[in-house]
Amino acid sequence: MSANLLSPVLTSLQLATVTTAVLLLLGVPLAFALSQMRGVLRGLLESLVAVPLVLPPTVLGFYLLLLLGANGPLGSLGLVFSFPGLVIGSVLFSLPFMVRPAQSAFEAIPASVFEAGASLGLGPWQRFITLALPMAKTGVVSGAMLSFAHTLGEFGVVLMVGGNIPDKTRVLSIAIFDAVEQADYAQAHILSLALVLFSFAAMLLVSTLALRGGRS
Amino acid sequence: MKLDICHRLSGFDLRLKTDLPDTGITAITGPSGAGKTTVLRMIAGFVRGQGSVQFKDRVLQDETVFVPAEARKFGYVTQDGGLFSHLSVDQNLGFAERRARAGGVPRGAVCAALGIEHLLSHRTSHLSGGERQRVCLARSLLANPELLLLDEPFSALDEESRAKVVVNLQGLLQELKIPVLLVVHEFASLVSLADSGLYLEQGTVRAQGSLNRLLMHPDLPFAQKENACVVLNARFAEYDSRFALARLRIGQHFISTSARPDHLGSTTRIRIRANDVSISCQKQSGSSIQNSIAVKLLEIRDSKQPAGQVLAILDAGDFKLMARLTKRSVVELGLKPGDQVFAQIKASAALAPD
Repeated sequence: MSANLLSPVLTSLQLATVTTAVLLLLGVPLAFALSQMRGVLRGLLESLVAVPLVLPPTVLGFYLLLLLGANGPLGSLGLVFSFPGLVIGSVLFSLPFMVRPAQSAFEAIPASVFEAGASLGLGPWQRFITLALPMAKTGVVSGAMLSFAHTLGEFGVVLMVGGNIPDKTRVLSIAIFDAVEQADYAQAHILSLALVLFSFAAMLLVSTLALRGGRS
Repeated sequence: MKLDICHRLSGFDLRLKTDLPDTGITAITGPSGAGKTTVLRMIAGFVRGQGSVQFKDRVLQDETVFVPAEARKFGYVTQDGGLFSHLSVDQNLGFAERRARAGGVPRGAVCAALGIEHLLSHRTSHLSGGERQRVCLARSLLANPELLLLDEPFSALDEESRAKVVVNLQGLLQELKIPVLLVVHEFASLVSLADSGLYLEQGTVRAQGSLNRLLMHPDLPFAQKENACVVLNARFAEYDSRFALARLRIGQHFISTSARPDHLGSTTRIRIRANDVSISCQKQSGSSIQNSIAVKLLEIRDSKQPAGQVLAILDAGDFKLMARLTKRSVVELGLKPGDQVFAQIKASAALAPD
């Protein structure tokens, strides 16, 4: 594989790994908090988390560009057209893919489990770590797989926030777009096929996990 | 345990201002939907509601204070359990042991009493409903909490294992000296476990006091039951192996029974059913009934069912008894409140607990 081909693959893998890690750290506790919440605030937060599912990625990218851009409120951080900027965009864009499956898994745990935990002296954080996480393991792993695969395939947000800087912010999907633009179908084929195979494998793993989780 | 609570439930308000004993087993009983579980959940710290909750010297809740459930650390066992499904039975118990208050009973004793030794290596998902409840009970007991809250903890057990668990649990609780609040529906568990109780209906207290007070209460359903009874603490005084008869001492009276208690000198709870007690005006000698006790007839109540019968409340000095009589014998014997009569209790009667 030429360096030309390898670089966007590596950038994509790196982005998906970092994004998934950030989502595990932020999205999973958020999912647990949502699963334990009641009332209006929960509805509000759930909708907010779900918005990227239906929003055109370019819209999210556009607002992020305004926010992070040189003249934006966070412009001084220099995040736009950088790898950290890409991560921020990807985290927001893939948030529902992490939160949704994790939240469902947390919701499937009966309240009596957490009550039993509390009556044994576990505070909210300990209940999350020692009871909720291990019991919702399959949901969390599914969420991580989905987020990883979704980040690999994203296009609009990374294009808007990251630009298309070779070796830095040029990811797989953009490389494919470029290749097609330049009528380099051979390169487009290789990258596309790799993405199809990987995505299929990831989904297969997620549904296997879901089946196993449903049985136990 | 001082309670002064108010909580809106569907259709009515739960209003409770009472002082519950800090020792022994206190039952919270009453019809379904009376608010029993909510009382327990407020004490556990799972429902906030309004008002104040105080256990011993600790204010758990008032206008400004709310101690969270994890700081109360009261044992809590419900109908559906709350077992940790990612852990085995053994690990569930270990989880509680690591967080236990000092001075509990060893695991072996708890598991033997609840009959779960053979389940230790099992996954919790493979347990039956009754097994789950017993493991939950064991887990709570092993944590040796300051107060144990039990919400229908035997509902999934079949009759036979319930009777066994109840007897063994009684022994364990005596050893642990943990006060217990028990939400209970079935009569059998109430009779065999509770020392005192509270009868809730539509969120308010209908009656409160010792177990016998509830069992004899004219407004509660217990005295009207077919197996209406009183529960007495008896000491095993002697045993006649020739006739397989035990003599039990209750206060200053002696009763012979065919039940065989564990060992001489031990105390046991016995249950004397109204159907096994009759009344005569003279002390009988030629009767097949062994036990005759001088009592004062306190009250004769018409019982709604079965027709033609009455319930007599008898005072033996140290304790009271109930006797189910026919209306005809009341008339024939000319019985009226205040009479000095003799209560006759069948020796073969169900004197043993359950």
